[in-house]
Amino acid sequence: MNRARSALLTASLMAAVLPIASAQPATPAAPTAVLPDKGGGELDLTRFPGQVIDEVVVPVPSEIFTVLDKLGDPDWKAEVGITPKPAFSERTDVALLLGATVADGFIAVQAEDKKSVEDVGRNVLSLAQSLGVKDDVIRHCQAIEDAANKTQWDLVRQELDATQATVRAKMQQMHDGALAECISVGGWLRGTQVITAVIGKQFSDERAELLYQPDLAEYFNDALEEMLVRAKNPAKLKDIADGLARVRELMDNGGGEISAAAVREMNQVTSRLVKKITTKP
Amino acid sequence: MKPTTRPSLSDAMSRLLTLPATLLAAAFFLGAALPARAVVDDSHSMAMEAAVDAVKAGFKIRQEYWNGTLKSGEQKIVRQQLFKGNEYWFFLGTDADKIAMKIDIFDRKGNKVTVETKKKENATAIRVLAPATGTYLVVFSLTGQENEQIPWALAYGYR
Repeated sequence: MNRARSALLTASLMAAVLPIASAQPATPAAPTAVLPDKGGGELDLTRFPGQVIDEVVVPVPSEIFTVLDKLGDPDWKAEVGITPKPAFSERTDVALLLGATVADGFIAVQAEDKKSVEDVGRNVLSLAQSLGVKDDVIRHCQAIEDAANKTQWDLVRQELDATQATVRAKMQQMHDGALAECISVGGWLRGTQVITAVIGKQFSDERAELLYQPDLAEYFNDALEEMLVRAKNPAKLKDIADGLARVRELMDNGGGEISAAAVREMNQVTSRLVKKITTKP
Repeated sequence: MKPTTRPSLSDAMSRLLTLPATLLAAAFFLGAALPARAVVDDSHSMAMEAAVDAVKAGFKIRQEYWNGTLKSGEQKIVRQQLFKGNEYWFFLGTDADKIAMKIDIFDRKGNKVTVETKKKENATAIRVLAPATGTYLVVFSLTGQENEQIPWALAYGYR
């Protein structure tokens, strides 16, 4: 895994943060300097007078779609596609599918497609039942349907965010954090597939910058790699992890701007992975 | 550390937009206490009290938030993906008294990108306009009595 870029980023940030640390009189005897390992570019976080409490915060889907709202009015109707709902028995597969289905809901909202939003609500409920969390999301699904009927799209977005957050929280409560990550992975991949399609049709550097999310791709890759050891279907997860690694490379692009060709390849990779998530082999 | 979720909070917030300002603060506390299964997190309530103005201004508050305790003066960091074009508020709260709070956010070059800071008795909020899409570091500390363990909660909103 190529961590050089994120390590370098973190290193430069740490250096900037140091004056804050030194301004804290109550800080216990802490290291006074943080330097990257210049040989490998890796930063020794143990030498930083502070604790990193999250690898990287995964944004909720509506944060991304909020940006897209400001970048014109693409043809979202062309991107609406309700994810198939194969009867998976493996919970990991169900969680990945649930994430992709919630992402479908956001796309249907962008297209203001009431029927598709309602279909998503029903599919989410069915998948939540498979995960044993139906009771936790039923109020969200009802709210999604109600808001769609009233064409209150902003409220639908909020409820879709809330649905994903609720299921993730429930998974965490059940000490099944890996499933929670699968939900995020499924949603992020489906979202990236559609966003790359939209940006590819009307490319601009400004739009492509939205895809500068290499740390997220790396975070998801790491999460899946950790799951491989105990996965019942490691081949599928390995394929997704490998695809994420490629997407990360394309997003990072050595720190340069993301090209139209890179966007096209991201779309190809994510389309293949979404197909894997939404169909039975 | 994984984020904490308070299931009904965002619902409550979206509805609060229609309430008179004088009711908002009280409603936040009521909203925070509503879920029977959730433990009331007073530090989060303080952070949400600081979020009232942002909610009225159209910011959506993320349901998940981060919390814990830290030793006085200790620094914590959250790595956060932000998007150019979005505007963010981060809210740091504590239910401990007489705490000095500091929070800032830095871009990939180590530049501070905080554009506005608001302080209340038990909360501090910062506003950020992401100059570029990418990963940022939210860095915060709370300082009280020496060796004091201070509870905290960090939430954010965007528009």
